[in-house]
Amino acid sequence: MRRRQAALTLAGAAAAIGFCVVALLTIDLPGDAALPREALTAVRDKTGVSNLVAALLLDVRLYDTLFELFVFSMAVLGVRSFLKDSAGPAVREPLAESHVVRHAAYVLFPAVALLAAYLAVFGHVAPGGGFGGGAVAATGFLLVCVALGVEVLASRIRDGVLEWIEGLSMLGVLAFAVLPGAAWGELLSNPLGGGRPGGLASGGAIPALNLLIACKVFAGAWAVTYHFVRHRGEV
Amino acid sequence: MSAVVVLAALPVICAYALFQRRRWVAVLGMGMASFLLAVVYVLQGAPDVAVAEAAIGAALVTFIYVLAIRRTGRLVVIAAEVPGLLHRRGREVDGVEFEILQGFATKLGLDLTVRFATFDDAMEALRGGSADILAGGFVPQTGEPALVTRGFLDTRFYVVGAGEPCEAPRFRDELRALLRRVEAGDVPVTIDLARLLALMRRGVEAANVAATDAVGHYAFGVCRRRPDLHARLERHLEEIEATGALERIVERYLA
Amino acid sequence: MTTGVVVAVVLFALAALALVARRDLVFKLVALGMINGSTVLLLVSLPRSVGRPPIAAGPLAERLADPLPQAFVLATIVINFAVLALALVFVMLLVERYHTTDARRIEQLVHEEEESCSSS
Repeated sequence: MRRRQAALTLAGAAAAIGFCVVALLTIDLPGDAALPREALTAVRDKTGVSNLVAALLLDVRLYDTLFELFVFSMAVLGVRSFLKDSAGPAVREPLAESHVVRHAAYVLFPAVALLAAYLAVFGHVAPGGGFGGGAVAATGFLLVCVALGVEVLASRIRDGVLEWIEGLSMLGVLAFAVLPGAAWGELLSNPLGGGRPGGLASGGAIPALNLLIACKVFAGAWAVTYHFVRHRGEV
Repeated sequence: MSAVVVLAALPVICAYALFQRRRWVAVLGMGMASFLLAVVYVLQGAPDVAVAEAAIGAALVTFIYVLAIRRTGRLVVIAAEVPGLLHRRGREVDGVEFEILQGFATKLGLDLTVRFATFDDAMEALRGGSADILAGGFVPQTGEPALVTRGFLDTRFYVVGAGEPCEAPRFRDELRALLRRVEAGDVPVTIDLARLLALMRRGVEAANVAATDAVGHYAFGVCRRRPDLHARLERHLEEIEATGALERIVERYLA
Repeated sequence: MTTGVVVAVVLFALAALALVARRDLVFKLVALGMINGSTVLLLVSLPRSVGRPPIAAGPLAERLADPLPQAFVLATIVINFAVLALALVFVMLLVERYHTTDARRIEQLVHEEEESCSSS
């Protein structure tokens, strides 16, 4: 038994090393030429935002982003539907409550919420964006949950409200993605784009999309953590 | 340049975290790896990605794992305190049953947690599923609402006090209550060996004690919902009996 | 070939090995998460996507990081989290049903259940 285990371990290590060697030798990385600077400057001037990643996500490749949000919704829906009915184990120990954590949460939560809002609102001007902002907001709520206990939080925010936020923000994303284009140009183009790159009011629908995506990601991530805290598995 | 240093640390941390024995160490290692990845992304000029990775990988993922593996490998033993078999010694727990269960828990890779309660509360907890194993001088009778393992130690029943032995053996009583009854000269009580030894250490005279012919054995009770645990505990008891380790343990405490 | 690419490949190999070799379901999930992370690292460490951050109001910098892989990867991170959470839900439900995290043991138990189901 020992020998077989040793042999398997050796075979596994050899396979891993062999894979690394083969992959690194045959990998054919695209060369230095990224999107050429003229193209990037053109994107920046057309959309009017200075954060090129946001410009690409929410204007040039908006179609992909819509589907990514869709996949995210499906996963959150799955988590919710599997954990909704379970009451969790009969004897549930409370999450660790300590005074230090509680007071630290009172101090930290406003800062975290502010950071999340900043990332979402200024996502097209500075590094950030809707995805990061939503994730940070969910982390802030998680901090409050650890400090106050999930029952307190759940009694203050009904679960239905979160579902509404999620659904409405998804609809909002679709609306902002499709409607301006349907009204003034091609679908999914950003006809209101333009403006001074680096300013807050630039990019047409992009800031609104950032905000809505932040809401969506926050609602989804919070739904996941809320259901996990309620269920409190036994793994 | 410093990106290289951080990147070099990553495979080491991941290898340590993935090929671990303890689950929570793996989860924490993954959280740390996510955080280091976020640092690398910042150093390589991808700040948006870094924010998302830090918030999600380091915080949210670790948190849901910690929630999911909360009862991280614990074996909960609920017991009545019986000196010699399972008793407290300062802040530690000691005794024959403790050593047996500790060996069992180590073999399974779990942490042993012992809680003391009265016998009825203990049985309630076992039935409800909040405890895994019932211990503490448990002499099983027919119709117990739990899975019962094989006996690991035989005992004879003794009668303390003069008079006719009462019908139901009184060995489930708490030790202090038992002592009070004996001192008050109450109805003669029938008890098992471990409790007898405990009583004698507290001053009950040997003259009052008579051995009966009834015998029984100490065993463990296992929660009904854990037949796998029951099977493994039985196997563990067989093993330690076969190797003679059980005898050594018993000698150490109940010589 | 940047260091990041090499490390990403090594991490992928380690995590794939752990995914296959470990029997504990939780470790398998952690390895899956690590595979996700290594893929993200690969995309962000390509020679073309390493450089100054692609955020500029004025004239663009010389060695600008390529924003395209970063845009791909940004939403991927969030989706990976959601799918990992779903997988963890499945693992939790499995473990609550069979009281063990050993993948082989769970297969055995499922097999026995199926046999007893089909025979009765």
